[in-house]
Amino acid sequence: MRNRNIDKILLSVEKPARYIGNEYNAVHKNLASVEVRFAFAFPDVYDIGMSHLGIRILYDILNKRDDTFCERVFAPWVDMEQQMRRHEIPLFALESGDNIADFDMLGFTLQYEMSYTNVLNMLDLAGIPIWSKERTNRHPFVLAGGPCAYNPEPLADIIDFFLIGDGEEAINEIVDCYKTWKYSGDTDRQNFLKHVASIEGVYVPSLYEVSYNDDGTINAITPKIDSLPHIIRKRVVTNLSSAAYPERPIVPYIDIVHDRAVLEIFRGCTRGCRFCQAGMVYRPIRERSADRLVELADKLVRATGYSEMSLSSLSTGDYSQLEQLVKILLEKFQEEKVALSLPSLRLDSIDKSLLERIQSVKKTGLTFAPEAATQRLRDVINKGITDDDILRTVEYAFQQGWQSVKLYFMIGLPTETDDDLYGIAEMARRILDVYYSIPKDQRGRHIDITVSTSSFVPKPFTPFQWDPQDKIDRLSYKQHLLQQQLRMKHVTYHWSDNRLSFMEAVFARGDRRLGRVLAAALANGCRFDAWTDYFNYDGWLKAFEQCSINPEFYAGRVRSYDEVLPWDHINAGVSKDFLIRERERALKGKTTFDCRRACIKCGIERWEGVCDNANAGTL
Amino acid sequence: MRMLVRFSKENDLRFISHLDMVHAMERALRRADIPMAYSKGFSPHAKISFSAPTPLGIPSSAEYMDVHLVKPLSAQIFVQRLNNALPNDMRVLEAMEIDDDVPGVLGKATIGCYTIQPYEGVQWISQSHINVLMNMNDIIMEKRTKKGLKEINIRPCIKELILMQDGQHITAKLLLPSVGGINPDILLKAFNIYTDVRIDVEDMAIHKDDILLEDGRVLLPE
Ligand code: SF4
Repeated sequence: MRNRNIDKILLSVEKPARYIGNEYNAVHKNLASVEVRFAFAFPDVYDIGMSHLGIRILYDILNKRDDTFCERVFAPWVDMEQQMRRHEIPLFALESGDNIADFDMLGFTLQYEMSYTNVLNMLDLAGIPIWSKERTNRHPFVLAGGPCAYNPEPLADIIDFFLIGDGEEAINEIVDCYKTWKYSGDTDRQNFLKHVASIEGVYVPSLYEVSYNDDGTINAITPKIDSLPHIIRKRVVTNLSSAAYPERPIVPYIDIVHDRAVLEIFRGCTRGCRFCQAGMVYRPIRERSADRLVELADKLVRATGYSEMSLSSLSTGDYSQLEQLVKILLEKFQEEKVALSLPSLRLDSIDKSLLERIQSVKKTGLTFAPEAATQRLRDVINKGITDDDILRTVEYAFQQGWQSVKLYFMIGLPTETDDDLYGIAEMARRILDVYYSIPKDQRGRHIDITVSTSSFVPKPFTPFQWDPQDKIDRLSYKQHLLQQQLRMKHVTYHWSDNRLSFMEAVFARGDRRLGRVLAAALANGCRFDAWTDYFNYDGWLKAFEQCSINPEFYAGRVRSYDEVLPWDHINAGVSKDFLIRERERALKGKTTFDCRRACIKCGIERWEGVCDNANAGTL
Repeated sequence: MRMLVRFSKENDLRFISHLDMVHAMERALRRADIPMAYSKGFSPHAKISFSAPTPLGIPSSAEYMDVHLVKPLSAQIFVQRLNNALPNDMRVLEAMEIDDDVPGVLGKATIGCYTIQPYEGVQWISQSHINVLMNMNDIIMEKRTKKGLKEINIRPCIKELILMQDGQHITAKLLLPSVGGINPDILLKAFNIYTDVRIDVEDMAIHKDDILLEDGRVLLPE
């Protein structure tokens, strides 16, 4: 039951509906008939967390079990945290209002590194010790998954166990394992951890020993028990059409970031962009069948009442039956007034007439993410889009009356020179030229181009995982140069905070010695670090100093191919020799084609029955 | 045709804003397959109007909407279908079919009816406190407006103030903020300033029971 004190503080915080739960389609269960209570935690505010698909999928799967009740918990926003601490209200679950500390399991999803302090803070607010080794049987088991779990090490001393890869199947095995342990009368937490470690994809960091070399690099990561695997292999759901999908998703009351029905059309991406961790770790491509998607779309609209649906994936334009699917959905939704949005649409791969029909339902800005502005650098990062693709598409779009273009670039990519930066301004100029070349009566009345740059962060399991990140001054110089270059009419330039990217780079490729830094940063007041307004760089620098750790060791150092990387004991599918091969090609400016054409032996072809394409298209 | 509907927003839903409530209702109408009329144009909107917002924190059975329909539907079926599609804390209380040419009535509501009662164990208002207020000619209070704090005389806004038999509940009829009136919290604060009772608005359970036309009639006649 929710503490009545909470009702009293709710009127003094921003968006109180973040904390009430009870949304349409939220699940409620009779606690007397439930054996396992699972809290699914998203370490950011409700509005962000509820936009995330993974949480909805696992919520649905766990609540389909009669023996389990899965509830949600999000990071209380700064104002709410203050009130909770003042009134001594511990972190509570949205559905029941019960204290999180009383749950059996608490599962975090790790979507970005800069949410780590929120993980620690949520544990603290719940009254759960932040260090795994200090937890007792009065506390839940704390697990974590999501893309950042591919390098679990910075949280190794905090999280009891990680789940690497797709959670759909593994989560049930974990709950089963927990029940068996619980009813066996065994009260030793360590024993459960040993059991759960035998589930494929599960990594229990406390059961692994890390030794270091004199220069601070890792010597070896070895299991403490013989029976444990040396390498933990990620879980892969091979058939998405038959995989569970939430057909009655929760409909939040407040406007969340993605306030619409979401249809995940496929998982994985084979374009092979060399900076992109998602493209590497979510291999291979697994599509949902168009039939299944149409069926799901119908159910989703009926169960939610949403008037907008988005097709989601890493690269929607690559869906093999996209045209057919979009046509069917548009027809279906015409009557019901449901707008279709395609977020990461690659216009180069979509039929023009289709584009016209999508905009006739709803018109949104045109978005491109060339990531690099010159063909040379795009070849280095293997981003297969050309200037021509972009210019042709904008021309067509301007003729159709579109008036805004957003361009996303990365700065600080390996091999980047000033010429690549000038290229960004050049591209904006050429797009403007295209607009002005169209007769006035055949184009929209305004034009507005937004250029955004983010600063490159090398990520584990990418070909650039050995590369240093540009130093902060260097990145700032580049942004400064761009500010000058992009001082053009109708062009707006946005850039990101380099100090934030620096911290992200440290934790993305960090090891378990960084856990102490996280705790120190939290103590220094750091939380909601991904929110520029709350990012507290001084708090971070102080934390590194307090722990005598040099952040540059993680972000700014060139690593050699034979260095033991903190995530070397995780197998994400892509092999190290593939990544090395790709990095060498990158440095030579050689592109690698999309492996749907033919298998390029990324490593996952060695896993039996996982990639359909591996055998089909061998060169 | 149109449907004039009264509905409630109780319990936890007092914490959602008016706009969020409007969205929740629109989605429920879609789930219920109500044949709504839409505006023309690029992003079509359902043609619905809602009564003026109830402030955050006050549960209400006084929410009204006027929905345009493209196909006739009986009030009874409308209520049944919509209630099946609404969250538990929102309920349709009554509905009436009206013709397209009947002028809208939502904007004509001017009076809000509230029940106010204290949570347990706090000092509470007695008849003499009420008499003090009601006998004043001017009750000057600060009111927050878009332009900042403003002093206004709230006495004309208080149409009725009755302490119920049990001595616990007060019912109040107040001019609505949409027509220059006040919300009940200002009334409660006036007790603190002009009488010797000390009450904390946070300790009061306030419920909005209905809204009325200027002459005291209800919006949806039986
Ligand atoms: S195994 Fe081959 S086809 Fe499959 S994802 Fe890897 S490279 Fe592509």
